Amino acid sequence: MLDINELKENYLMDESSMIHLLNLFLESTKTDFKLLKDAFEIKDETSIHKYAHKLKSGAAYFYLKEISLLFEKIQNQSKSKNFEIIASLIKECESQLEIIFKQINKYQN
Amino acid sequence: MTLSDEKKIMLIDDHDISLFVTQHILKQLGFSSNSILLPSGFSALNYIKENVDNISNLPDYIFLDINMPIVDGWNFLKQFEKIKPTLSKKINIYILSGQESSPEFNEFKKNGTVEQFFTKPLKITDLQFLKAQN
Repeated sequence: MLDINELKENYLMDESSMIHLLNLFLESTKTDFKLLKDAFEIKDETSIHKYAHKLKSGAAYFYLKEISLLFEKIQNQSKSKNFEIIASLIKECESQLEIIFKQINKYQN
Repeated sequence: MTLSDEKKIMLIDDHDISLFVTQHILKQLGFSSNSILLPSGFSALNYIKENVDNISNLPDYIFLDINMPIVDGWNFLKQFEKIKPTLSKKINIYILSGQESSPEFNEFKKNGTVEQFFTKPLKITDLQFLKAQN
């Protein structure tokens, strides 16, 4: 779960900076998650690792520990090309991202 | 203008969120006017090479990500060590990475090339030392 007040406090952000940060998160996460799925479709383990790392790094800035851990697992599994496990991890990430995006949209409205 | 404003800081990171948060925190600490944001080790090396003699353009501090395309953080540091003797001022380099610290860091630290390793996300308290130095 996102704790936007905690983020504001820790990064000393006012409302407009926080909205900007949330928009950055939405844009970059949607783009990178699509690229991760595209890389998975063609079984490109190097790109899977690259985008999982980028997504993990972005999620870490929002203290999203659960999904960060899932992206880290994808990174690790990409090294050993365990595509079946990666498929189920991507599904888990997708469900979690849906909840996070809803929360952000609700906050922004 | 505060003394902190006169210090130039370079942020090298390919992640927009990391750049935005780090720059925002620096602004909150008073380092507002002189940030140089670069998306790769490659562009940072080019910037430094073009400004070896230009004290006012060279940064005082660099915050360096490790996992970047083309020239990653460790390769940046290897190249930086070659340019370092020709630079017209001392540049303090801090690693800011999503990874945990590593043996490479200890090597560069031993050589005096890097100062400290911070794990993302950066916290306000991580940067208090900048205040103390200024």
